Amino acid sequence: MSNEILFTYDHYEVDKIYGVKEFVVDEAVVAKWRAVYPQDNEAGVMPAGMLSMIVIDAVLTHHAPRPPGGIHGGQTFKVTRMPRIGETLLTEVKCLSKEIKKDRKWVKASTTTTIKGTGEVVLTGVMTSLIAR
Amino acid sequence: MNIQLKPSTKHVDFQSILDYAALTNDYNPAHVDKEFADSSAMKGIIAHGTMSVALIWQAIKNTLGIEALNDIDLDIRFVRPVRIDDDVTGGGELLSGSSDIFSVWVKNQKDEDVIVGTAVIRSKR
Repeated sequence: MSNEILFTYDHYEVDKIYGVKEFVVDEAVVAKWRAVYPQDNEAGVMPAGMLSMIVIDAVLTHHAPRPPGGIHGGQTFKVTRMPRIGETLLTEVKCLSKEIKKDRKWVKASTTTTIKGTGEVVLTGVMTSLIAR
Repeated sequence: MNIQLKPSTKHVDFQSILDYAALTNDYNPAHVDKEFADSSAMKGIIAHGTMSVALIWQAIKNTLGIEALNDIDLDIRFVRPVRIDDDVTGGGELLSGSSDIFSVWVKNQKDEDVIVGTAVIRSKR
């Protein structure tokens, strides 16, 4: 049995910035995406569906290990420019709010994604999750 | 002006859910562990919600062009789970009286909403 301490609802601290996750938009990762979504074949531009992947990757990196069984309740994306293949993205994760409603534990995490090197903001958003414990 | 987004459809099987888990490194057992999922409140495997969001992005891109993705706000809620062997379709339409706000959705093969929301698409022209 694992002795790993789970990142539960009680661990979330509102307004705390949990850190930054780097994500390299290279041809290899885009090829893996296109294997699942063959329609996303524009040359040079990251498929927009990967925006979710970048957010999830950052949130799960900093809020982990999560108790099993949570679900995604909602998401906002504010895109100012689609990332390009070859760019490196930095996504900062912050706990925006937490709330128990009808015995359900909801957490909102805000993310800000910038281009490494220039600091250009390309994506901000809020991920709403129902936490299992 | 009535603008309908060209629908984009995907068949979701267990392998595609596993592939998406590998892509996102999201191995939540609700998505990948049948035994766990069967005993959960969801009573079976559900696909990652964001797996279907890609269909909304595709519908926007296929209708308005890739430039439309460069200045856009998307706000969505996941309202019903996607199950193994569902066929999900993403689409939307310009809201009446608006020049840039679209109602967007993903529906399953029973025409039930699985995702609902809005997209503000400022650079569509």
